[in-house]
Amino acid sequence: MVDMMNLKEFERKAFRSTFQDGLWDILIGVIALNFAMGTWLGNQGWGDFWGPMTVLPINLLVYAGVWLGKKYITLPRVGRVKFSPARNRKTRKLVAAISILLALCVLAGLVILSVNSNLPGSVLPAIIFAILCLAVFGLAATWLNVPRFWAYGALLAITYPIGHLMKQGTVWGVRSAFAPFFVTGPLIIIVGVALLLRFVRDYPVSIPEDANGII
Amino acid sequence: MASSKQINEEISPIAGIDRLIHEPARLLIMSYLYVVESADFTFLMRQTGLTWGNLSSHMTKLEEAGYLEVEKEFVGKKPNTMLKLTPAGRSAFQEYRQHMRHLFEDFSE
Repeated sequence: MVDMMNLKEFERKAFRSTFQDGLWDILIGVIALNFAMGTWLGNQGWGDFWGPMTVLPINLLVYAGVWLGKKYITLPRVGRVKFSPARNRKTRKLVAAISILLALCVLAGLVILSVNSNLPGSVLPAIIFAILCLAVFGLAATWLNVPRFWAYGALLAITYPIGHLMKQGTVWGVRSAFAPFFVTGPLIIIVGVALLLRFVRDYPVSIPEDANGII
Repeated sequence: MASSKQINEEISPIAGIDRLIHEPARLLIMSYLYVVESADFTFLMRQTGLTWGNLSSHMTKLEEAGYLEVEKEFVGKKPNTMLKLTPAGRSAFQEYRQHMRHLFEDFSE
């Protein structure tokens, strides 16, 4: 019996249960969609700088929504848990690894920009973006034990290169390299919303039957 | 026919099992609390699939045995009750695991 009870799996299951609400998925989807939205706004006369900058507050608003959703939707349904110091160390390592990766990619981008001024026509940004997506989401999927993040990583990794392969010019009013994000973003948002609906259905807010119990 | 002394010797490893932990629902509760630092009632209810009343009664038994402690804290302005294993509870669970492992190792086919 003890051999069949895998304590590591118990811990993984407990940890995974805090990721089944679809809220992070919605945020990832919105960020992906905003790659396209920012460029679209830029083409509508907002300019190359203010177009992408305008969607930043939207990302922040959605992030605030995720935080509120965790507080008012997830916590009352899943409950509160403090994971072991080992799990917390693992999570801190993940954040550090992702931060280093992002910093390296920004650095690589700056170096490439300074060397090659014809960067927008180059395939290098697409390759860097693809590697970054696979690395970040792969790390998250492995360390957080959320396998669907692999799928998001792969999906996002091919999105920008596909756009890059499309003819230069505009598709749906967006510079072609970013147009596929109009598909990828909503796709991830739909998965997130579906997960959220399933979560709300499967986990109703619990009502104590026995107020005289231990609590 | 085996003597009663012989039978006692044969079942002595089984008799040493901590029966408080051995009960399936409590074993499940102890297992979850063993792998996390602490958790509230709702979390344990979700993970174990036990009802509120059932979980509450098992919790009381574990608390009375000194295996579990209750921490009251405030989250914002709301009171929140977190449950965690005591050092005695952790060590009892570890002993139980070892005991069971040895017991099954000793079973010959």
